[in-house]
Amino acid sequence: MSPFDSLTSRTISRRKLNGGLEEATDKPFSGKSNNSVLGLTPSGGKSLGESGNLRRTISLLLLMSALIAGVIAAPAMTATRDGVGSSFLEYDCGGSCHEKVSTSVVTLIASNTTVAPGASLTVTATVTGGQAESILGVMLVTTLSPVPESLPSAKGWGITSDPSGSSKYNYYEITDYSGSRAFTWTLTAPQTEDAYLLFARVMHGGGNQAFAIDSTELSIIVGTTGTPTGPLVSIISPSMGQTVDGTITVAASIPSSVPIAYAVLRVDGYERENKTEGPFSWTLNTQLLADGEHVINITAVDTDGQVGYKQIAFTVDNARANTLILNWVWTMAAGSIAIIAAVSLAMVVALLIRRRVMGGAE
Amino acid sequence: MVDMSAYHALTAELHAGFLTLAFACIMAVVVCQITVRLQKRMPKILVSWAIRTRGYFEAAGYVGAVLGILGLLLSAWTGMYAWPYDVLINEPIVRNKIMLTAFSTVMWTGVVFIRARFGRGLWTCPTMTSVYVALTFVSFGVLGTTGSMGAHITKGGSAMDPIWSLVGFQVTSDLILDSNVAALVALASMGTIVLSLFIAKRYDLFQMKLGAETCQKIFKWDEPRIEAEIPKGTA
Repeated sequence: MSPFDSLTSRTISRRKLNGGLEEATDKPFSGKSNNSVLGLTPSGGKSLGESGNLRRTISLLLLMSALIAGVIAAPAMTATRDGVGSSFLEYDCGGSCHEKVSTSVVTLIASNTTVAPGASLTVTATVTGGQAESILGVMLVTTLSPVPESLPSAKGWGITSDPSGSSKYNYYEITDYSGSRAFTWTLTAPQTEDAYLLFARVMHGGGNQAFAIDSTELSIIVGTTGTPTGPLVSIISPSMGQTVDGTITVAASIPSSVPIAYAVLRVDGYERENKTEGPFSWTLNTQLLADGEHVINITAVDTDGQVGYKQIAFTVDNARANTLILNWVWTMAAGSIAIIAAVSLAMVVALLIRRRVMGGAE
Repeated sequence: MVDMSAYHALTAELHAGFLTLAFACIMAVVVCQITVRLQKRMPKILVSWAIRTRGYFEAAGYVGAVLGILGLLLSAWTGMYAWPYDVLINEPIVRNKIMLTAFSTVMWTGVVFIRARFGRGLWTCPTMTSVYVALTFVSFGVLGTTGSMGAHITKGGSAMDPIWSLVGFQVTSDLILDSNVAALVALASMGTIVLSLFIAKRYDLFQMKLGAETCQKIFKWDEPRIEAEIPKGTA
């Protein structure tokens, strides 16, 4: 005898209630259910089991409501950042650490890339896109290393005016960013003749996170003494010693007062591609290189025949990437099979329980 | 020529919409079934409404799940062309999203399989109903997680971040196993499938049908059928 029999060995008939709703009453089990829509209540009276069911149902409904309310209210719980305001900020964290990489694009250009010592010039950082909702800040710095002395003044630059036009901060913040904005600083060049670098760093919030991204370097030559005789080549990516895999972009910045005739990319001394106009970036498939250290060399020649070059070492590790992809595919396959197995087993168990309770009756 | 990312956006919205509909409908059937089961404790108007609507919810849930799976497959196909291969493979969060989308597809296929195999009658069998509803619930949870990852990829954050923060789940961390561990999991899972098939054959479960006449003995839930007319004197 099944433990369910005492509870369930009954079929149902109805009697009409005042409001027209039928109440179920018990009769001996006849082996077949009536085909009614409502005749499902096992007992006409208030049993403990039904009260428990009702309590459980209400608890379940309350739990589900709380979950749904939580999901709906989640956006309202998103934190908002108020920014730190325009000020002097070192590169480092810039008031608060912005660890996520922003999807915004920032470019930094100057009115002149060759200036006399102490001369005036303007630099403009243009920001487009990104996850910023309204508050966005841009800082002008001389290095991308998180160390002190990244302020322009540390290298001898003077700030005549920042993007507000009335103050002289290296960090300027706005609260009405809507997808595109230009920030212009007026600077005075250092008194020491040399080649200098400037960068723009964009920082903003979005959702509940803090984002940042840096511009590529802007090279400015101050004076003529000490100025390289040829074009000044800087390799923007990959960086020195970086480990890469797959297809990468090799990008170079080649500022020059004389037009560039051509620039050549070489890998381990072998010429890859020759470009006669910017942008000077090349696509390199590292799958064609052996894993290990390699050298990239970019040589630029201007129309006066002067030559400039830059060389960096980097490391290719495609084995690590291939292992990662292999593990990913294996996990995807194993997970899918595990889901099928779990569902199959659950169905079999469900049918076995039903078979046991029903005693094989169909 | 319409950009493939436009088709991907369209199919992504389509599958999310259909599967959300399927989830909502199946949960609505659960509520209706409970309401009908506890009719003496429920307001009459609620019982009447549950009887009239549960059949439609049930059918809509099934159709929504089928169309949602088609949308999922289309979304995966258009996604391959909409996003560069390097982006698909190199970002951990994108790998996670692809993997969970695959899991979600398998789970929703399981939901549709159970409904197709046992028909409406599955609602009369509490154990099979539990499997069906639990699988739907988990499938929807996985779908929501993939949606949250999509929001991270395109917008850098998602409305579900407070929940992830609460449970300590990092959507940007790689959710991958070592290939040896994954192979063991796959092997064990295949063994479980074979065992399930063997038991099903042994106890003749392949022939089993579920219906009101067979399962009311257990829990007295009837089928959520579409009623052309409420029988006189019920509600």
